[in-house]
Amino acid sequence: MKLINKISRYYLINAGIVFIVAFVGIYITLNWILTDEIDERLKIKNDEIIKRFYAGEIINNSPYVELLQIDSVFKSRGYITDTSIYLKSEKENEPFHQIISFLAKNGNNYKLTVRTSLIEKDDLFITLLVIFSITFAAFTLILFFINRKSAKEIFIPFYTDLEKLKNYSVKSGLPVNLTYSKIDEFNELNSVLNTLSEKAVHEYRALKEFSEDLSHELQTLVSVIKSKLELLLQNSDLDKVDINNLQTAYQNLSKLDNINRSLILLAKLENKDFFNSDEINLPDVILRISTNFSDIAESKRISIITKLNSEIRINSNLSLIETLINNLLSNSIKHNIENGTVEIILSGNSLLIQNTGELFKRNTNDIFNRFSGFKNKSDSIGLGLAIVKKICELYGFRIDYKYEKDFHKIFINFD
Amino acid sequence: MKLLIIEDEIDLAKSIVEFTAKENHIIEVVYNFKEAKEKINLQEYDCALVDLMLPDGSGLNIISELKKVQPKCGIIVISAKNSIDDKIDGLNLGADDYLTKPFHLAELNARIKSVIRRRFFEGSNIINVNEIQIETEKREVFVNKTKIELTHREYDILLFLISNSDKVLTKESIIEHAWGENSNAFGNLDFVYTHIKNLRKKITDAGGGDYIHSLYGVGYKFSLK
Repeated sequence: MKLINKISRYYLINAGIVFIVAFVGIYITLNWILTDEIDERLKIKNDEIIKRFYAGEIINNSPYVELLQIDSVFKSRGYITDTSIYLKSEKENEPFHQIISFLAKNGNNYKLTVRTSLIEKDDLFITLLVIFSITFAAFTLILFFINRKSAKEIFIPFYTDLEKLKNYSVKSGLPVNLTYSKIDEFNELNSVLNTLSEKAVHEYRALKEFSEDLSHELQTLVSVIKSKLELLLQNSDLDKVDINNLQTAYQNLSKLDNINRSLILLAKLENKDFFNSDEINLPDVILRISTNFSDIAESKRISIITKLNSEIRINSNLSLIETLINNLLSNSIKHNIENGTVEIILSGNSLLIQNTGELFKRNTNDIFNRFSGFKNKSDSIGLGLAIVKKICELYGFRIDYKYEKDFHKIFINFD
Repeated sequence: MKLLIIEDEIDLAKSIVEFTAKENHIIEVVYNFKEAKEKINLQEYDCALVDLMLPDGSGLNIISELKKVQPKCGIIVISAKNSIDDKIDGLNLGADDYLTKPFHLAELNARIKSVIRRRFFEGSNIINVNEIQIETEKREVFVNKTKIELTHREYDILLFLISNSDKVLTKESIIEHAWGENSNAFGNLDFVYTHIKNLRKKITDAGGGDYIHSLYGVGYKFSLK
């Protein structure tokens, strides 16, 4: 629920309660005043009729004035009582106030009842209810319009800022720049967020620099170790066991080197570092790389089939595109089966690389994540597809993976 | 040949010196930008290895300086920065070749030889090893004066082995040399064996000696002994 609606609802509920209480209070007060007024008038009317009675006038206007001759004499007390009388015109019992007086004239005794209807009180209730309902409806309507207007005025900067925050990334290296608002709460929030983003950017930069420095440092160390191992290999006194040990060390170092290089490239891609762009003839690149892989594939009895039916050229960095194709192709050869195939189909703006292979046990959705799968393959460092994905992201290519009819399929759309 | 190694990583510089020791080069090593500048203004070199990231300056400046004072000197850039831009900058300034750390010593050795061949033996780029003769310009190989037909890969492997004769070359380094940097991702590197086998057969079939030796599956060595 939106804040403004929440506040409105709160207002409306409370206003409703206030209206009801006010209605009851006003009704009771007015009712009392009105009854008092009616009784006052009843007394005056009663006095007047008594005067007219003694003057000789006979008034009988049922049910408002009733004069009855009676036998016994009562002392007239003249107070007001409640009663209810059936009215033909209304076809129901209606409330009345009455004064009963006992009078004596010419030796006869009379009972005089003067009444007044309280129907006016019902009218009061209805009138009051109508007035209150209209006021409450008007209040609600006005509140609604005020809310709409204030929502626009007050919340526009809030929503712009929200949009900014949604699109914000610490990778931009800049703190999130939120607009100044006239509302203190928003301003406070903005300043907190600004500080927070500055801190995040700072931390991110430090981390980035650290990992870059670390990778470069490692690269130097790896080169030294690699060169020393290669020198050791030249020693003719080594026996088979020594050489095997050396080889294992060397192979693992190569893997470390590969991981490190991949991480450096990933970091660059993530930082969206500047990469020189050229117009690249994609079929040429694919053909060159697939030819380069042909004898490796052959040694694993895997046939590479290329169907390049497009002359697509893309504006991007040659080295990155080579890496992209290289990683995809080497993956499709690595994760293949004996006598399998790799098909490279380029048509229009899209590339499909599919290869025979067993279904991965892992969730296919994370094949593009770092170190996500293929752990069972000792020759895989698990970063190839992560790099592919980052390159696609950099250039806005769409990439999808699907396993269908014993084929792993990777689609790339270069639009 | 006289080589200058400009490399701040002392251990790596030592490795390079040790690996190339039998090549009859005169090698001088400097570890920083200042010394490098002094050296190149004092003496002539045939080939210089320049690390781009020196503690007190950029190797790129040394390349331009070298180009000015010793235009004949071949230049190979070595850098830890796996940056494509650095590579382009270095080559634009006139470097002959570019190697990214960590590299194989054998690869560096082969590159040095290649640069020297191109710079100092123009027109007659012929390598003679006993009965084997390689014309590097035309990429042709002769055994006992008879031309043998080698595939692209076989030629690359042979030249790489001969450039590093008497050295054990790992399968990794051979693959990286012949197939390119990215081919090393394949854990199973046995496919190189097929190529070596064919190469040996072609040479011996033409009456050449069997000089390529396998070393317990770790790599290969070209040796006349």
